[in-house]
Amino acid sequence: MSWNHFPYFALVAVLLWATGAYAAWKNKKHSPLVPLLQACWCFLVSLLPCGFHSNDHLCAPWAKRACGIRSSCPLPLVVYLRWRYKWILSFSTILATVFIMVNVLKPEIHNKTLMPALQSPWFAPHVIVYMFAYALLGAATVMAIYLLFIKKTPCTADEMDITDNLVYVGLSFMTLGMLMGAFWAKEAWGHYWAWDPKETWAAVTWFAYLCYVHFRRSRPYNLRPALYMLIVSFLLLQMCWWGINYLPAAQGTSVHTYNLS
Amino acid sequence: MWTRPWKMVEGFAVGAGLVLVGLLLQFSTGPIAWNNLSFPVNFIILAGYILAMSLVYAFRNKVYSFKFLSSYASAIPALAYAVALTAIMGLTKQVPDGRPASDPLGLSRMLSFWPFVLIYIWVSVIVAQATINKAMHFKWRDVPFMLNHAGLLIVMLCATLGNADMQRLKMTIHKSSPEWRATNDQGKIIEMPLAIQLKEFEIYEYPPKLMLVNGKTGDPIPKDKPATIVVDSTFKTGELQGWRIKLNKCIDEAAPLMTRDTTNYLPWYSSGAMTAINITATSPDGKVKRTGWVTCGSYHFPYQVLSLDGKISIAMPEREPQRYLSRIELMTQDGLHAFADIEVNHPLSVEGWKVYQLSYDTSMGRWSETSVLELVKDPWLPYVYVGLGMMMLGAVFMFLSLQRRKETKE
Repeated sequence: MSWNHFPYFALVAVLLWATGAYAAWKNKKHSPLVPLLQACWCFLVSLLPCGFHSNDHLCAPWAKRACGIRSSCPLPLVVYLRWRYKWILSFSTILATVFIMVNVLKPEIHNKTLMPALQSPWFAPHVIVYMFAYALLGAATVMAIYLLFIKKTPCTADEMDITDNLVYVGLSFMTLGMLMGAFWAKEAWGHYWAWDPKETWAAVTWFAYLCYVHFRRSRPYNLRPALYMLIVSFLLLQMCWWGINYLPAAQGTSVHTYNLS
Repeated sequence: MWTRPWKMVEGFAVGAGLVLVGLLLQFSTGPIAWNNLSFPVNFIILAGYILAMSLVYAFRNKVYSFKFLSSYASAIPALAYAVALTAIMGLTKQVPDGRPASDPLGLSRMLSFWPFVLIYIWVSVIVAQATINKAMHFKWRDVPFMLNHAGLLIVMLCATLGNADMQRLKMTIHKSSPEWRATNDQGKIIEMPLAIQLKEFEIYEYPPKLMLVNGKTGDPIPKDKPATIVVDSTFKTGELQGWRIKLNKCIDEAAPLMTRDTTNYLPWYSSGAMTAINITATSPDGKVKRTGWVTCGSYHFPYQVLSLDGKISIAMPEREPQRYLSRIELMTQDGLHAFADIEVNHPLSVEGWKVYQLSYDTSMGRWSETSVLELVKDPWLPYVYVGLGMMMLGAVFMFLSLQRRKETKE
């Protein structure tokens, strides 16, 4: 099996995933088809990192992409099984498809090497957990935009429940990812928190979502400011995610800006 | 405003007051000198903090502003200020530790900037009050709350107060003799209770790569994102921007043998050897065919490119390290004598110190005869880890307790 086979596997996986998402929309809540299809997909995707690379020099962006794909499969399934949110399946299908397209259309991202500090057992959990947190918080932002600007009628308690739950799950995963990063940083760089630009923006993002959580608890019926807070928080998150790669203040000082040549 | 109960407006006003006081302090006393907080000052501050927090809690029913501290109306503005000031920190290039700020206000040394520190102290006070409040009315369902808040409080206090007690030193070790001196950030030499000698420095590199470069300027092609092919153990032929590349010979450790008109490469297993690859390149239209050697060079020998059509050449960029490690011999004052390997992501723990692989003599590359280690001692680390562990547990509980929240609602 080589990299050239990847698109076929990806196609099958996306089809399965999409069928699952469709079945979830269309059909009875408890159709066994949905989890079954998801499980197939999880199995397929779990093959990715081991199967498609004969050489063991997994590279930074490639590994990140692979993590991205993998993160978007089993975890949304957990969310779906727990809260029965149908849209999470469609959402993660789109997310996974985007990642797959990136992999198929830009194969050169695989031709990269992974610097020694990134070779750690912490790498995969740190990135996977963060990607999942970002995906959920992204979904919460979509929800906020929908409720603020698209939906004409006032939002219901159920809709706010969905938004809150997304943020809670996203925030707990973000916390886990951040703290894993702290333990890893201690092993790799000698300190658990060094106020590196990436870490600074991670703190900003974390505080911003904490702000939302506390606001919701204090003013449960004051919805619009809360929803605006979600959008602002997600903009701050973009800074943390990729903005610092272009931020003059972070150039040359951040150990997180990987200059890929 | 200021009619009870206080709301968020009052909270924001408190924050503005703190920023103002911070600015006045910044201008009158200058930035905070964290280094003065080493033992025992930090212990005294911690004791004072705990006492103050207990008093604030004890008198919360007598003094309204104390009670206000553990309310949401105070927590939300505090978090908003923390977001704003930390974002300013993220937008301002920070100067390294120990250097003066590069701007008049002191924003480029945010960690020593009074308004920033006062806002974080405010956040910690709120967290402390909320934690004490919940602890005094303990219920099992508050465990996630307690873990999150108490964990964060422990991390904030121990990381901040312990910072001055942390030692981070650099030590360059050699093959020739043991080293027991290390230097700190200010370049001061410190004698250590342990001595380290480098026995062997090992470096494992990624397989060599080939790329096209402009024959005149040496710029890679395409300039921003050079196209490369990896010559690993399975490589036989490949394509680079239309040019067909066939591998004839690859010598991992080679030296050049020059005659009057040609340069040949032979295996040579000694310091300064480099990777040499013999290839045949055919142009996209099949008209041009070139055979020759490409090397990445070493500290001892220059690199070699294969010129294709005068305009472009094939070159081998410097090989990237996959991992590197120092095999060391270690002796301590307490009589420990041991051998160990130190690698990136695999530090060595010895007598309260953590020893990290930091760097090596990059000009010598894989033939480096020295290795740079970092030695870190952080006596407060166990407590920080307790706090981090509590926060992780808190995050897991937060995720798990969501379902219960829904169920109780239903």
